[in-house]
Amino acid sequence: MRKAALVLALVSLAACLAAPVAYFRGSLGEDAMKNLFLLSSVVWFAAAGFWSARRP
Amino acid sequence: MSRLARLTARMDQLYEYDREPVQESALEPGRHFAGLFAGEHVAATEFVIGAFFVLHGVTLRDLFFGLLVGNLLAVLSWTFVCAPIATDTRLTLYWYLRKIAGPGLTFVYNIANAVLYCILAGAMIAVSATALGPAFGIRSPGLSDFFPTSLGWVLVTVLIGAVFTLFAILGFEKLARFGGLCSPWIFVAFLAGAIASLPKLGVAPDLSNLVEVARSRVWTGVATEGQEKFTLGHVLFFAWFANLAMHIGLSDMALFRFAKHWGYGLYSAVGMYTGHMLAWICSGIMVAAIGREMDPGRMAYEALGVSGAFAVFFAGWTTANPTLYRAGLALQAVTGWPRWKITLVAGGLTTAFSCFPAVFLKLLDYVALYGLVLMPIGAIVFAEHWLFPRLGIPRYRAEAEGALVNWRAALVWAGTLAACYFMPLHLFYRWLPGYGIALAGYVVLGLATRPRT
Repeated sequence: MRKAALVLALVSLAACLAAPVAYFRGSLGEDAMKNLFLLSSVVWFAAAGFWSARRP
Repeated sequence: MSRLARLTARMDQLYEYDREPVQESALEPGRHFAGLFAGEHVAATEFVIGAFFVLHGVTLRDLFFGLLVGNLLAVLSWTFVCAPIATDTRLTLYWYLRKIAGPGLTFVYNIANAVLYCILAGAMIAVSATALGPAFGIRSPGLSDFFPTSLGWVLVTVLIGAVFTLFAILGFEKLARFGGLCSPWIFVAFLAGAIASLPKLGVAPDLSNLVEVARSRVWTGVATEGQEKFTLGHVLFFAWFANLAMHIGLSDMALFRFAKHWGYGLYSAVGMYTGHMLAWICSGIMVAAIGREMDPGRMAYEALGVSGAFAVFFAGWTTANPTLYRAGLALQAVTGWPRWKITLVAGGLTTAFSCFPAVFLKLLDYVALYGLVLMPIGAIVFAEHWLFPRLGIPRYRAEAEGALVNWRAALVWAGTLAACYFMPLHLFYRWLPGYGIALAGYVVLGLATRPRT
């Protein structure tokens, strides 16, 4: 479970970076980019928080 | 017992837990230092510093080479000045300085450090206020503003200061954990904000005109009206002295006493080249995209929406809190009050500073002054640790004689600052000759007053 949370956290952090890259390349609108960044950020804090709280 | 002696005894009790040199079993691996540096140097102030380079008319070439070389010099300062003394003594600066300068002067150093910390935390709160202000329709202060610009600005900074202080009182441990979660995300927010700003500056999706846009629209070489023009030297020296108190000033001995080897100082490069190079470049791009207006909150909001505003807010919060904690710890000895009470006082002081926009609008000068004020102590410790044995001057005389204050050190500290004040040089360059003066002055006084055998 903890490992899955870490993977999810890392994927969400990558998504935070992918959103503006997609916007820059013209494959995503500005509002969609901002929403995707926000959503990925929420997932990052939830997943990384879960992973961190269960650190031995 | 004099009042100063009573105060220093109280301060000793506070730092009692790290009085003994670090044991072999407590040494930390290299990745621990890499993580610490990466987290600590992507702070709210990065939103301001990189943007100021743009406003000060730095050219692309000067920025690139200045940051590359300046940060390298900072890394080398940690590696060859700070880490070797730390791994040799395995002590914090507090306890080592106590042996050298006496408990009285160490006490004065701690108080100076605490006040400087409060001002720095005030700057973090002010930066956070620029993120929260727009939600209440409050405009951020302009570049020339020194005093609070509106009642709304004061209310927002007081509100943020109160929240930060409350959380600092409630628990440093939990907040430190939250800060650990924020660090990678804030760094990604810097990168994402810069990438999202590129289309607004007219950068083509294939990056073919990136350098041309960087030269013509971001680091143009033309300073904004009222701002001094910066050149390669300004950028290089700023990158070098941005953490002067930590490397040349030796306060990171607290960190490197846990290092297995002095070469671990090289891990500081992780923090320097991510926080003090990439993040500064990113904030420069973001400020150019909003028409060179110094407003960190707006910069990030325009780039990333509400997440950007949160990034600025969290960056301010997570870096203001340890700063508040350290300031509270240093001030605790003066009063002997419980930690919650002194954190409340430090928070109040910090909040009062944060109402003045000057704390973040004059941040570059403040960072220079902060390092300059504490730098002579680093020179004194360096001289006593490395030069005194080679010159046959006895070390730790303050400790051996039971002196409350090492007057040679006090004189060198005050004299160096006086000399720096009158130097006909730009503020950014004064610390280097100042360091030479402090080193030479302390050695000469040591030689002149050494006991005859």
